[in-house]
Amino acid sequence: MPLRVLFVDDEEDLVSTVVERLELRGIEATGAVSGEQALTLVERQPFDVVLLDVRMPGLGGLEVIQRIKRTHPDLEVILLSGHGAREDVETGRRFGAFEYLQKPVDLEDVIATLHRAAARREHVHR
Amino acid sequence: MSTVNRELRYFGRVLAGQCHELANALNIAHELCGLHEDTLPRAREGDARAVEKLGSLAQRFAAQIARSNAIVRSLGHFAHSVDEGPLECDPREIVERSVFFAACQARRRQTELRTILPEGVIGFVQGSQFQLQQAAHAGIELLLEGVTEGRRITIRLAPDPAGAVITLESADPLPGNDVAAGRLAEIDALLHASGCEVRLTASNPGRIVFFLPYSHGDSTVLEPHTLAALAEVPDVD
Repeated sequence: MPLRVLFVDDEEDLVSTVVERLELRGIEATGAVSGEQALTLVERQPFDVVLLDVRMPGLGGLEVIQRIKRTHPDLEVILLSGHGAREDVETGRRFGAFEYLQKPVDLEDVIATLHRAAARREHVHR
Repeated sequence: MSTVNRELRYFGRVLAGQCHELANALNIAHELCGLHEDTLPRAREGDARAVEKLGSLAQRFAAQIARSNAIVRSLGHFAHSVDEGPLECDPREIVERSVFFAACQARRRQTELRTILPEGVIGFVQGSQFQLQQAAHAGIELLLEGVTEGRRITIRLAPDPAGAVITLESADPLPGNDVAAGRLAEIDALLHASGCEVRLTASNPGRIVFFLPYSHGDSTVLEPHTLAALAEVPDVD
């Protein structure tokens, strides 16, 4: 079964590009352009991993990860940020983030991290 | 906090915000490059959809380059405005730049910044471009603190016989705390340093009015009743 990934970022063109690139690599990718939209999608369809930007208008990534973990504690979340603030990294880990990646990040590194996150999910679940 | 520290804080805030915007554009360009590399082999094999995709990618690259150019151009003007000193400046530029730089903060608050500029020519005003921009940006930030998410802030520039009038307006009142009062005092000091004035109105607690006298106008000193009348102009909505 292909890896099911939700990519969340407020930059629409970034979302559509990354989703397309992931799909070309056989990943079932879905995009969301806000924290609110991400939460709705998480309730509606199953995902293995969420790739989540920290800085977004409205619900930011740190708020979104808290809400996801409350309702879907087994869903792995990888945080993405453009500025790599130490505080965000620590807060993200405290909220249960699997990994924290700083943008721009090579897609192959993202995919490797997605697979590691999915493997942990499966291992913990089992 | 000293004037220099306040100016440095403002300078840093603008720079940080625009760096973030520029980084976003570069991140998209980075991924578009990747998608271009992904698509190219199929296009070389004659896949018509891949060839078409390359055309649309070029347009998307161009959009991010235009976005980056606008940021770099604005930052360049901004950096030079520090050196220009208290001379005279174009009030349109004050409004356009402060709105441009505050746009990312507004987006985070999911608030629209609407700009209304006069159609005709408007005279240059006295004062420092840097300080007046700082005051206008601080005014927008103050309104953003009080605004309900999803609403709008209107920034209107209008000519007056004695100067230019910038009205910053939100449907929500300004925050009523000590921090906000301190910020207003800073805005007042910035405007006074350039020979300009700020006005708030009891009838519309979400409105800040700046009066910027023309640099070569007959009247650079505004009578209190005139300023009060300017602050009471009808609502824009």
